[in-house]
Amino acid sequence: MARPRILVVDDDPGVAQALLMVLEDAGYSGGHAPHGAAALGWLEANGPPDLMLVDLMMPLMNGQELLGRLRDDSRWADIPVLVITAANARVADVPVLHKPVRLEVLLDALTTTLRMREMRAREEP
Amino acid sequence: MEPRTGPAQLVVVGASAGGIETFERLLGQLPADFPVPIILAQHSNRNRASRLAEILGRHGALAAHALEGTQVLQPATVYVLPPGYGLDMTESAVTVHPDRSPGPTPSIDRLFSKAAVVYGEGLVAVILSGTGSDGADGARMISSHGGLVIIEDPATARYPGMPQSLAHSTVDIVADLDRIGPILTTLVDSSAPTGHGAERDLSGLLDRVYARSGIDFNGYRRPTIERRLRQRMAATDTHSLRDYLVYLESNPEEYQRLVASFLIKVTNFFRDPVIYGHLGEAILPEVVARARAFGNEIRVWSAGCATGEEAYSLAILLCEALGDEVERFHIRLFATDVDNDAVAFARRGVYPASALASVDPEVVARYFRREGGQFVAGNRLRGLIVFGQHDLGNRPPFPRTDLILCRNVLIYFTPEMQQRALQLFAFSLRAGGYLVLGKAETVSPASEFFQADSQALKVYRRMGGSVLIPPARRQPAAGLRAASASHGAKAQSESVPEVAATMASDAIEKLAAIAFQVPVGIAIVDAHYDILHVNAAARALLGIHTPAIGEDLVHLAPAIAQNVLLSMIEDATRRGQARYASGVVLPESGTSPRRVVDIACQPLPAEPDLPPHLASVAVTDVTRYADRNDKLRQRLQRVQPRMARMKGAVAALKAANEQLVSENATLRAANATIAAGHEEVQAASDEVETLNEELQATNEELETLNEELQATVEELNASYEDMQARHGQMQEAVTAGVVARQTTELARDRLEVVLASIPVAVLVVDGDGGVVRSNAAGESFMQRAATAQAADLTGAVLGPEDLPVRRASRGEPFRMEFTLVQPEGDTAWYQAIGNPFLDQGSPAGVVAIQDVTDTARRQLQEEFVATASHELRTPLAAMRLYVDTLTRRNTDPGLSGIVEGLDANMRRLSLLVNDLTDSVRLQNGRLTLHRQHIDLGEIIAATVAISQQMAKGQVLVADLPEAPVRVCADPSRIEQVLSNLLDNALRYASASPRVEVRLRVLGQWAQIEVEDHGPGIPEVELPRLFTRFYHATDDGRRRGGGLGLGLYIVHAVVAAHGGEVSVRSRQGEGSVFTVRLPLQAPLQA
Repeated sequence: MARPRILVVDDDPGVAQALLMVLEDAGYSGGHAPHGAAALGWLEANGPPDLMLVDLMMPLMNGQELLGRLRDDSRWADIPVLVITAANARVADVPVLHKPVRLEVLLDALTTTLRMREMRAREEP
Repeated sequence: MEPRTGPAQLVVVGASAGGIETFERLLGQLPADFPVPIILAQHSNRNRASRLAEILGRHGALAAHALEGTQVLQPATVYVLPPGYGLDMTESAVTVHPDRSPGPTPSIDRLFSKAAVVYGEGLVAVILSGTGSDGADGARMISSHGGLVIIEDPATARYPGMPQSLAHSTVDIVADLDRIGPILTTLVDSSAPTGHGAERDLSGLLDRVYARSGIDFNGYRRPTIERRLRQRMAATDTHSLRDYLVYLESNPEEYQRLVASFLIKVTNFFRDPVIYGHLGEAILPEVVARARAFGNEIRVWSAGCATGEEAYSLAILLCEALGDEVERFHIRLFATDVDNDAVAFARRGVYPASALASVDPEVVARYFRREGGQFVAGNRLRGLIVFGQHDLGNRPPFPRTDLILCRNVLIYFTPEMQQRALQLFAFSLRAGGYLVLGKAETVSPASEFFQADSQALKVYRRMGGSVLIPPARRQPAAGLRAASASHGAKAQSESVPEVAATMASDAIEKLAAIAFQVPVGIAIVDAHYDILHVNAAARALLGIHTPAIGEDLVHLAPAIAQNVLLSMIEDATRRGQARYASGVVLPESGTSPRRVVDIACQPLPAEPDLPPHLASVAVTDVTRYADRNDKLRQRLQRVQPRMARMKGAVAALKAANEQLVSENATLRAANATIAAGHEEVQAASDEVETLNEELQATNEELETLNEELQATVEELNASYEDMQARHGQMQEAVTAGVVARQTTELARDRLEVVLASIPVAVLVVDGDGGVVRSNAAGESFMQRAATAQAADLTGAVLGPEDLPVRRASRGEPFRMEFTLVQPEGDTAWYQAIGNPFLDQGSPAGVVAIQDVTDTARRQLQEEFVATASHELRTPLAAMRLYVDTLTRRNTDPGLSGIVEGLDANMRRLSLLVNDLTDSVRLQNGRLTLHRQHIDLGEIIAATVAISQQMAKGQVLVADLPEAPVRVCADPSRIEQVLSNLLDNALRYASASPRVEVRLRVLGQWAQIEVEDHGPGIPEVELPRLFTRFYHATDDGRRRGGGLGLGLYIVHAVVAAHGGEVSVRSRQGEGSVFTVRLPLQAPLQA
């Protein structure tokens, strides 16, 4: 089976680099977009990934707006999303990881989300 | 037709693939006397005759028929809708007809939609196993007509696609197939869900819902409430109201679902075309024509807007009526509903295609944009509408409206609530304004305020005299309501003087509206301390969050010592004596900072229209004055001991001086007589000189001190006089008011008093921008404004036309924030609210300006800290991941000490950033608690396990009782309290081999003790331990670093939970920190 693809949307290069290293380390294949608009471009070019890790405060198009765009587009509406933010924020219907997040917490969240998605895919007739 | 007790009931069931088997299982669970008919629709090939009815008839306890022609529906019977057919129905009969529309057949959507309209709340729909999404649109219709939707649990259904396709918001119950039969049986049971004599339980439940959600359903019709409650009981598998209450107690999220089920959403775009036709052709042209003559302002209120369709429809009509001119009109369309979720949905403005099905596609294209199969309201519409949550039973209305739509709302109200709502509308509408109720409503508004415009459509126009804002529904006394009714009645019989009085009372209402916004809290109470009226400022100052009308002020304001308020109100209402209390301290509580207030309690003069023995309670926030006084007093106290010492020194020196002078004299005498020893005398004399010098110097110091003392005392006196004067003013004016006879004048004087004594600048300006009236605060504002430069919050300088006084003079209603920058650089922040004010026909305005500098500064500080911690957390996030990866990969035992050190310090840094944000929020009283019912033991065990990892050789021991200890608290905050205490113990008592955590139940309290056996804390430091920055200011003993915020946060969080924290410690013997939290109150049966 191919390595699950995870798109990291974060404007901070330090955080993005750390996340990508951790993802590669754990056997995922990672992609990166520095803000919401770039993420939409990435999706158009590469198709839906298996999961997206989205920061909230970003230039050009912030995380909230990106989530709205994803929900409204049937091609992207099914992509599981985890929000990862340094702000004290809550997001409707989306799980939030708070920065700084521990490695095991992050990896647990990724595995659980991906497993749920797999189970749902198997149940479709 | 036979008279019915409730609405007609029907069950409709839809399924596609896998249907037959599931139908069989479902019907097999129903009793033979199932009291309601059932219609089934299962997708199948339209060319193949379905034998479903035959198969089902053979197996179940109920008779089954295929539908044909026209049939009267019988209870305990199953009707199968054949493929290739659709149906029409009335409450008792159905007619089938061929249906050749494309898509799966028979159409579940169309069956559901037809049944939804006819049966409304009496309909129960079930979606079983299947594929595709037929039924999703139909379910939406059912839900919006008050019916109930059950889906087979997709997790266990053979084909989950169809049940899954339903919008989450339309589904009431999700259940396994085998549970659906029993649920249906419970739902159609016509007996009351509450059992015998349970009315008390029911209102108990509604009160609890009210306390939790702030929405009071006590006025809803009992049958509606009971039907909804039965649905929730079926969904939660509880069989009695008592069981349900127990369920609610342990599943607080059920409150939300219950509230959502009480709030019925019945809407669609342009629902009821006749009404919209009349609006577009008759009402709006008239409204627009009037607006052209009066400043192009149009104000419309959609009361009970549900999910917004009505409001957007109205906005479309207005845009269509005005065309390109729309930009030149000031349009405000208030759209309100009591249901917060509905309002949030409306605010988003995203609708499925089915909601817009009846709208002309060209119109849809003009005002909506398409996004992924849904329609989003464009900015053109969105910009016209102001959405908000509003309860017609308890809140004041929007003023000066041209048109109010309130359809399908009042039918759910009790007659009493209907009357209140109509009075609210009468207040809200300008003369000649329209009230549109729609034909479904059964009430008729009073003819003294409304004239029928169209009896059939229930459209009315506002006529007749003025009306007061009705009291909130919870008020028990009928006095104020009677006053307004009799006022209206008189307006018709007596002509000229009454018209004048009406005009005067209009002005009073406008002033009252301003007074409503001022920061002096006013409450009117009766002799039983019950509140008849309370303004926003009083709510804010006293921390009253409920409607509070009719409730006991003494109990609602626990921050004020009960006996003080009690005796003040008693003296005012029973003995007619005014009472004042100054410098009353309201301690800091969960959401509000500590305040100091002055309270004035005045008897109100008896008036024929009002209940007897009323008193006004005015609460003024004097925190700033009091703080200044405190500081002065402290300075005074500091000076006093020094002064006493100096007095002692002076006395001693005087005595010494006298002695020396006499000695000097003796010596001089001796000098004269004894020539010998001259040198000795000279030396002694020199000594006297120096001592005199010292005396001189000491005297000088004493004088300076005395001067300083004098200045302080004078300042103190001035400040007292200031406060005394304000009291005097208030008292004088109120006394003058009592003498006046005329009711209207009295009321006006009272308002004058309020205006004079408030620190908000109130300016009345004429059309040329001249200030024609102002209060004291207004004058001082104008003085400050004269020398300063006004700018907006971004720092851009405001032009003369944008200044609040100019805007008010143009009659603009507005709300703005601005700053005044003095030439020397002092900046003050202000908030201004302007309203037009008709002054004998010529336009003018009132503007209220409040100094919000303190709030603005606090906000800036909070924003700064929020930004700073966000910036800090970002690199921390990267470092955290690197350190964790390093820990995983590291195999070199020589490095593990370094990695552990990195890890521990990272963790501390993260905690510090959190402490920093929290402490600012705490200081500003903005801590939010997400309370849940939790077991303290569980949290302690988990926190101890985490903290143990931080220990360097110490052992953490948790001593917990076996039974759970339940409290209602925010679990993450409690965890924070524990980890702060444990962190402290590990850090400061690093020599302590053990740290013990004990949990005990003591009476009404849960008590947690954290004990270490470290060096202990010196007694002198104990009192300051829980203050902010304790370490930063304590030079001698910075033990382990840290901002010293940990214990401050512990204290504040525990206090916000209604608990307390204390410490006992002796040097060398360790410390015990004790936290007490109130136990969860047991469920009251």
